[in-house]
Amino acid sequence: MSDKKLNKFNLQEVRETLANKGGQEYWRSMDQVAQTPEFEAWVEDEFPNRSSILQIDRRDFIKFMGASMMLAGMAGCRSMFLPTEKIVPYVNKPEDIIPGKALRFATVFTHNQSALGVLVTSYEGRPVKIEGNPSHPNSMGATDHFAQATILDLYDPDRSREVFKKNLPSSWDVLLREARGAMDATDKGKGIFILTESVLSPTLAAELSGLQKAFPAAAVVQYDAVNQDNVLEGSNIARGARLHPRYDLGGVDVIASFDGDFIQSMPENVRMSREFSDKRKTVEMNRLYVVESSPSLTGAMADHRRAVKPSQIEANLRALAQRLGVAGIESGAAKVDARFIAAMASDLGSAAKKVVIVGASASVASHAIAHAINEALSGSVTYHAPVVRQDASQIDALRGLTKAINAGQVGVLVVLGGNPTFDAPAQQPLIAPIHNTKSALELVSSLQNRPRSSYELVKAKHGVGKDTAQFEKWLNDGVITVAEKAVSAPALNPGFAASLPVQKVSSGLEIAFRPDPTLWDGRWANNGWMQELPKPLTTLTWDNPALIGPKMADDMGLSDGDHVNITLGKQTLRIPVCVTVGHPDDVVTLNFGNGRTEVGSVGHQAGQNVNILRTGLGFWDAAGATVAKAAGGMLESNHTDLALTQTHHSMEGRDIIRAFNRDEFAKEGMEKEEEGVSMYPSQEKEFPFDGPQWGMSIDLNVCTGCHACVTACQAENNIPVIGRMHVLKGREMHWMRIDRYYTVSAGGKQVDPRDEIDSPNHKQDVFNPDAVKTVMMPLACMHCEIAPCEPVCPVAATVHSHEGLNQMVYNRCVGTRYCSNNCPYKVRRFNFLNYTDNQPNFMDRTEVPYTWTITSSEKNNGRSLLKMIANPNVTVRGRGVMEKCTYCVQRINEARIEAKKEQREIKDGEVVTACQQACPSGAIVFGNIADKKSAVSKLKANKRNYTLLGELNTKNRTTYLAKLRNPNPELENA
Amino acid sequence: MAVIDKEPEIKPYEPLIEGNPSYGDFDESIGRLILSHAAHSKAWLKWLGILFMGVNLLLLSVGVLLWQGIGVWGNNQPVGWGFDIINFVWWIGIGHAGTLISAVLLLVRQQWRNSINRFAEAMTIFAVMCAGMYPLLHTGRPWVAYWLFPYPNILAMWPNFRSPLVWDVFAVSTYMTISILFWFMGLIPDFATIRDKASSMPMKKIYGLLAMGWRGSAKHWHRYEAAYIILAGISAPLVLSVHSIVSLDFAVSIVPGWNNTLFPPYFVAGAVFAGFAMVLTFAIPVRKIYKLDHLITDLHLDWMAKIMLTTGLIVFFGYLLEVYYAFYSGSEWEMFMTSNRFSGPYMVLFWSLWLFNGIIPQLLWFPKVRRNTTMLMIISFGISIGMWLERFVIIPMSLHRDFLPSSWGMYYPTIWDFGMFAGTIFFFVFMMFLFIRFLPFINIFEVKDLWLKMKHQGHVPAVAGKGGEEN
Repeated sequence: MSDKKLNKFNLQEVRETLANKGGQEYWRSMDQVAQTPEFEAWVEDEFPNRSSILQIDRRDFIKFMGASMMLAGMAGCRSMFLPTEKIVPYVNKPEDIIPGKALRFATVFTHNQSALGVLVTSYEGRPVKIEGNPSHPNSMGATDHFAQATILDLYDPDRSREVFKKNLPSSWDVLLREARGAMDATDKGKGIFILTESVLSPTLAAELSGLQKAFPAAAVVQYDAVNQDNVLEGSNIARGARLHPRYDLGGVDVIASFDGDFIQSMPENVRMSREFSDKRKTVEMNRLYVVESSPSLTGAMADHRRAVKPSQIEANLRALAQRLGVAGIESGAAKVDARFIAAMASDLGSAAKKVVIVGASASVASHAIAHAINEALSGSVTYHAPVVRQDASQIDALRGLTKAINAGQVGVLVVLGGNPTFDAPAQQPLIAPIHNTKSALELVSSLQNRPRSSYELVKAKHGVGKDTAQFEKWLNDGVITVAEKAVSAPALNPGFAASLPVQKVSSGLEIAFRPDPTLWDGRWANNGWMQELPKPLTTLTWDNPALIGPKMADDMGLSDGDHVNITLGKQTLRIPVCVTVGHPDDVVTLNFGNGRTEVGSVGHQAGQNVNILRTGLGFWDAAGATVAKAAGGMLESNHTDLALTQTHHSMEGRDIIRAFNRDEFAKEGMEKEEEGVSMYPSQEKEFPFDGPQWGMSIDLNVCTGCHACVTACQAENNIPVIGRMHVLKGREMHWMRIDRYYTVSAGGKQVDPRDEIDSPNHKQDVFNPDAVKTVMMPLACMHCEIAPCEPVCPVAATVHSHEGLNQMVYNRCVGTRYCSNNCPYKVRRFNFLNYTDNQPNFMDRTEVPYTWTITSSEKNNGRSLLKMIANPNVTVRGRGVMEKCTYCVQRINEARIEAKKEQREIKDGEVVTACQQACPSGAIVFGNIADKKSAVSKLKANKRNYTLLGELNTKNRTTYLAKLRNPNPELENA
Repeated sequence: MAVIDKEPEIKPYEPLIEGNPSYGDFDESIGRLILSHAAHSKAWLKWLGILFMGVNLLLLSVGVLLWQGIGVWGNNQPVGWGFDIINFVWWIGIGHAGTLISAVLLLVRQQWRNSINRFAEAMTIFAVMCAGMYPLLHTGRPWVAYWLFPYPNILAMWPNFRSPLVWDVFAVSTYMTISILFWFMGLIPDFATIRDKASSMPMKKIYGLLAMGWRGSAKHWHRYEAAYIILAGISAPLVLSVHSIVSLDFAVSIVPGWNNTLFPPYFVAGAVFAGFAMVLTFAIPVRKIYKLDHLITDLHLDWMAKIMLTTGLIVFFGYLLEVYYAFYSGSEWEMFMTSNRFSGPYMVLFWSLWLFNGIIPQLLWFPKVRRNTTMLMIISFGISIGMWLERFVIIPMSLHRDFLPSSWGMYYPTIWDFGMFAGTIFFFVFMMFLFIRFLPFINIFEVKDLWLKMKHQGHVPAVAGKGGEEN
């Protein structure tokens, strides 16, 4: 130390100087302090501000000792505060964490105004997979593709990691202090607006009402781009209360759906899919009528389907109501297929259990009428109130907020998730969303000056005055086992028909706005899995073109990828088209959710923002649009190649998907499969059968094509995302794919998949959207017993296990691709580039994603973040290696280890593959086919069982159950 | 004898060597091309420079491929093999003429082969070099491609002997080895000639080394003849086996359009067909530029054209049989595959194949055409294209639409596919340029031998259609 007399460094003073500063200012002050000689002296001095250790008195000495000992203990909590970067073994192992052993935590995935109970698989504190929670009523063990993909969002490279103030990193303290200051300054909360997505958490609802108690004038605005406004308003008209219908499809014999896509886009879709398919699997089956304005998976499952314009949905419902004798309902403004409605009505009338479902996009009147119809039919539906009351429509609430902002009446705006600047109807002002890494719950609580953890908050809500052990059990199971209070819906208002809104009448072209099948309202636009997941009906990735019917395409001379200009009001959108078989005529479907401008590196430049046409007046559909073929020029091409994973839509008359009518199948059955002829002696097996013999059965009768299995497989098996460029080249990596074919039922005869869609004879049938049937087939490695891929591999990198698995030995593979050429099912996937490590490049739309692309450190950070999502039990494949479905061999091995520890055989149902686990309709069953009592063996003994391309005699371990349809004879025979 | 007859109709006894040269003239006309750079026009060096740039294109294409991976090519699902295997089969096929000319024609004592065999053998070797690059580089991980060889290792892991790709490894490596040995052995007496004629010390040293102490003694010649015949005996079956085995890559598989028992003979005929076309494509300009039409006579061209016509007919018959069998089989996959060739998205390539390999070669029935170098050049060039198209039709066109329509796709090669293909062509021509400059590209001693027989035993044994010296 220098002899120069220095002022004492006063820590307290510095703290005060810094306390009220944030951002740049904070750091600048910090620098000023740090550069003073006093500070340097203070840092260097072992005993600051003291000339000798003797100046410490006894009490201080004891204090220091105590603090030192405590801080020594704190070292063990390092990972709580600092990122753990080195892999070191635990010295003191935390309870419950066994390296390499997964832990499953129950939680809830909220989406589309419903909650799905899920279990999150976590390795060493690193969540890697989401699975359905079997004890949760909305999941029953299954999920949809959204739930599967949401785990990737956790590792989104573009996630906000800090609190920002005016684009500069700040702190929670500053944020909360300033927000609270601003809130306290208001007059009882006047001018405080809290903008949130529809609130589903009772705890958050309680916190919000707590906040509103403190600030009575504060307004909570709930807004979702896919909302239930029409549903609630319809209920309000019919019953005088804003209630959500909950359709119970369990055991329902006849379902009539009006734009109600209960398989994918309605709340509680997973539960409804399961209930629907459980009934569908029975001998008597159920019957599904669908009237829809845009092709959906529910329409694809329908026994009878009518494609109509969005404005005609209401007319169809009115016709049905009249047929069923609901009083006071006037005829619709549009023509309907009277024979179809009559058949539907008589079928509904005579069925034991039935329901009429109306989708969120249908008009207010449609929902009100549906209340009356279901009341008249005693439909299988109950009603429940929203978690947080929504007295006005969400759009009106948002409009109110907009008006307040424009009028300068908003003092504090808290945005808890959501992105109205993107997905709100156009012509709304821009609002900068605040990203945060506190849960919304914690934030709202903190704003009330009593910050607590989410755990405490939830416990306080559900556990106060109750048994703590019970609460812990609920938390563990992810399900609260208190019976829901049955909401007895107010009686139907008898004169409601008079107060229905005026029907929309439209004669020209209409636009249907629908959420993107994989990106939803845009929240998954930066999720590579979701961008690359083929949209179930179009098999399209990375884009959201306008969907049009084949007739319109033919009339306008358009083919896939050609640009059109869609003009609605003053806005014009230039967008490519995708010709979709079964799409209603004179309707253009625009899927919103893609084309976000501020989205992150994955969704960057992907798709088009169609929200510019979604004005407040046409939220779900809009009339009066014009579509014109876009002109191409030297500088601007009028064509965009669409990254479709399937470009051929007909089965070419081949025996691929077998479909029969229920009654005819019951009478005639299916041709029995012949035993294949082999050049080898029959007793000679390709490999020694030893131990359980794994096999799979896929029931085409209940497969809805929802793609949950595809995403589950991607999550489970570390399947990389490759980007649009490579999908265009035909290199998608999904181990599991869902083939979608169109078949034509010409003249109402039995649907025969052998009809050719491309042949000119069937052109008129293809032009008739009602004549087209859609069939789906999930396909992964068939695990052939006589696998064509095996003998051709020059290095024996693909071989058979004694349990019948066709195994891929990655580290032996040299990558000749001969196996893939020789695979009749084309289920093998090749790492043409180093896809796994090139993940930061996968967003590139046009540039060649080579490794020499300069990647920013941000992208590299994203890459290291993405590494955390890898399932540690599955090898990550490098460049030049072939891969394919393994039947989730890691799960088989896990079950085997458990069974061996207990010295027993693996039980039936103990091994559940990722696809099987996710499947909402329970179409996939896996197990030991050597055990004749196993579920899979029983299914393989089913009369509907058949082998895909059986004549090749590859002896596939995966077999299919033929699809059955249950058409109404009244409609079939005419 | 030794009458220069330029009349179009073929005289029964037409000489294989024209003019009345002395033995020294042979040494001179062939040897001067090596010993004196003046024998080559300035254009040679210019062209060599251009070709060298082309070789660099090959290196660049291979470099990009190794750095990035197969993804730089157009291969995809379902078309796992594209330009890589097309070009492999194409190059292997081109090599076949060399082996046929040097081995098979030697064994059946067709002495007209003497002035073209060296040339054709060199083509074989360079073509196999080009071909060999592809199986190695088409693997996803070329650095472990050696696993295809059966080498002793600690894992006791052998290649899968059931795989035709392993058979390929044996077939092609055997072929390469035998071809080089055969070629080199045949060169030894000529190396000695060059050594003896060379005036500069480096040339004497280099060719002296290559001549391996050849002194031309009767004992040497005796052993040489015996060894040469043995090697010819070994390599003659290779003409049949190599391309048969290559064809098994396809025939063994399950893919419609590949799974075809017709392939081995039809591939062999196709290989000879392509090989002769390539020999002609090179021989015609070379004999013109280096004024060698007294050694590579119109008669040679005529006979090569006849072989082309014969093998071309076999190949075309094969095409027709493929169509017939597809429909005769009753298999819906085969029938679809054939109609997809006729009218699918790649139909232009398919019909071009029939045009180049089936229709145009029929002109060779006309003697005038067989002796018209321009026409021959055009037809041969067309056949080279046609044979390439044949492999395109078989490989990507069968793969792109197989069993499940959902997996159908299109194959579009990329700039690196073309880059590497063009690069191998440049490499091939580059090697031929070096060959013409530094090695005797016509077999000096065999031509002398032929000349001797023509002079002393009358012209009978040494002319067309009359077989060997035994006659």
